[in-house]
Amino acid sequence: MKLRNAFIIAALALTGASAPDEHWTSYGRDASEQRFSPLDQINVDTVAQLGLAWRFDMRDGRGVEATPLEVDGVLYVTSAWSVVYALDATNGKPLWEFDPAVDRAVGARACCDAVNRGLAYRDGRIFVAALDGRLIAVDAKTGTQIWATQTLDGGNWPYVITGAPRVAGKLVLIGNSGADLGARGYVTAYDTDTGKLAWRFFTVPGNPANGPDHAASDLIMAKVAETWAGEWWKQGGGGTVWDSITYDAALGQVYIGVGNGSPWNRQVRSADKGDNWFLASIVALDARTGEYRWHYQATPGDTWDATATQSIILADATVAGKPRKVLMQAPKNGFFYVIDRRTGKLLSAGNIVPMARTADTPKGAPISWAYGIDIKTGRPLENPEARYPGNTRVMVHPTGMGAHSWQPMAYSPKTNFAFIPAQDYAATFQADPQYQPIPNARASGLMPGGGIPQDNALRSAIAKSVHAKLIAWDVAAQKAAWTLDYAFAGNGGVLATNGNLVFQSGADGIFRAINAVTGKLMWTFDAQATAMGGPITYRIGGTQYIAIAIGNGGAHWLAGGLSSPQRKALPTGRVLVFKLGGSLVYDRTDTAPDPVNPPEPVTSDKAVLGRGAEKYGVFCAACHGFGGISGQVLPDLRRSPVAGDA
Amino acid sequence: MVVKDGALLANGMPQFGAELPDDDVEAIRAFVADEARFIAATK
Repeated sequence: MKLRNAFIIAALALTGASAPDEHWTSYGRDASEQRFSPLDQINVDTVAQLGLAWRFDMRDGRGVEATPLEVDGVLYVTSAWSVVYALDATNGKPLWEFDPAVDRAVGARACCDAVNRGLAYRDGRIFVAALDGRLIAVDAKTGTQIWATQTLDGGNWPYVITGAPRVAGKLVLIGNSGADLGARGYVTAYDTDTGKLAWRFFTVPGNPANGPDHAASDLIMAKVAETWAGEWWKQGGGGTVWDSITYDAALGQVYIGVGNGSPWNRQVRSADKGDNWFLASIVALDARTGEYRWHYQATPGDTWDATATQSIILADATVAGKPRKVLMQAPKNGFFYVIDRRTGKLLSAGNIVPMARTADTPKGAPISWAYGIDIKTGRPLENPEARYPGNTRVMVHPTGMGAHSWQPMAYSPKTNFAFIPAQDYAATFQADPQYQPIPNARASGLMPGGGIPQDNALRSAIAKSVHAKLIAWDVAAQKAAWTLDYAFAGNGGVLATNGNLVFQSGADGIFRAINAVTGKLMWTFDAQATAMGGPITYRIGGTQYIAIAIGNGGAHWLAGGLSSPQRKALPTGRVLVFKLGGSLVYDRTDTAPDPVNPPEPVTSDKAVLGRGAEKYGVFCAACHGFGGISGQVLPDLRRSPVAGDA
Repeated sequence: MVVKDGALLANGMPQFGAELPDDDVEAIRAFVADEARFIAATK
């Protein structure tokens, strides 16, 4: 469905603090987070000559989610456990390595593996946020630590950090993760020179009995609390800022993407009442003081893990004949939003996956949580059944994995297209009236899932019901210009270039170059693993390079084995760098899953097996795969001898 | 040992000793073994 509005958006242009053409100096290349490079040596006419120039193998084989940086000829990249590598960007020669020596036990608090999505850079310093919560400044030339500060002092919750810090002027900003296990979200700004805390903003209210937080958010928090009910603070409320933070130098603002509730189910979290500010919202803050300016809540009263932490991209736009500063986001909830950055007013919205009224949904098919957006109020038009009232059990889409998850989208001002790694999952929701929090287990408030019927035809049908595609989204028209279908979900982030190309890595391990205008596939490379973060590009000595960090990682690859290619992860994460005429041979690794050696039958009692499936769903599935079907990153317990020794 | 005692804590795996009684651990093991037998039988 297309949402009509009074605006016409055209001629979007680069905005914000820009990076030199040849470099990639921040997570989204520059502060606009467009992931659009002006480089064009590699283009639709030359891309067929693209080949591997060099390769670097990391030490660890756990999930890789990093977007590298390239600054002054050095490529900086992170692996699992927050390790930083500095490499000669022309040949991959290691220059230094910084290992923050994260206590591996911290990994138990990470919802989606010990991953790290990247780095920030300013004035000769690299900033990395370690899984254990330390924000660390490192000398970009030597890898020597300059300062470190522990950021996880916002309460006794199971926080970790997997996101990339962002620089805003002289400040470096970082949030954290933990809402899936029960936490209270906040974002903090630190002085880039000293590491001293400048301001902190909590995204949800704390326990009123504890009084003010003495944070920048105090000024708005009484109003925020009016949107909550019950004893929301008992599991933190959620709202962690675990990925997107975008700096708007022109307006002196930062935009934070706020995550889901803790627990997911609003019936448990907030007595089923209230919008629960600022869950599932974009919040604009004064970059210097952290004070609230405005917010837009994409999913009021979130009850489906509908985070709005996804890429926030800035652009200057002509809207209805007037210049406007806009931001755009495609959060998990299935809609694409264009918002006025000065006011927070919604300018237009459209759905990137099919959304329908329940009455128009075929019987037995998953229902949409909403079927549209009221452009005047900015609020969603919900299907009330999707809130699983009472004891109802409903299949809802899109859900937790998101119509667009954290894998970064890109935006090209040449085409006015946003390139979105999209997917459409459905999941079953039913409130758990007996819900009790369990440490280090999902804080969902939902009835636990059981096993998946042992019927290969049915399993295949379920897998095929998960649709994934790269969408070239025409921002002005709020509709797809073209799409590229994928066989599996869990595809990587996107790079757009002035060479009229977009680059994306598929869950099938194939790295692709696609014509940005037509969607035609132009070039492929079988990397045998996915670049979950976005590809980057840079130019040194007249040569343009394309770089990716590969190694399957994240929630889909842990839990979504049924809709993954069942290919064993590579032994280590890798950096692959390409250039025109590159001729390095890429030796292939055997990625066949481990053999199956089933232990002797323990029991065939269906009641015991059913209870085992349910408990597996609560304690094991998030890392080892729903229904026992692993994504082959962490051990597939069906193939593990450990299954004989629980 | 793995699930209850945290034998793989150094790999980042939680320790669920307090939350999982022995019969639940055995039920999980039975479920996983049953799934293993299913894929072994159908591969």
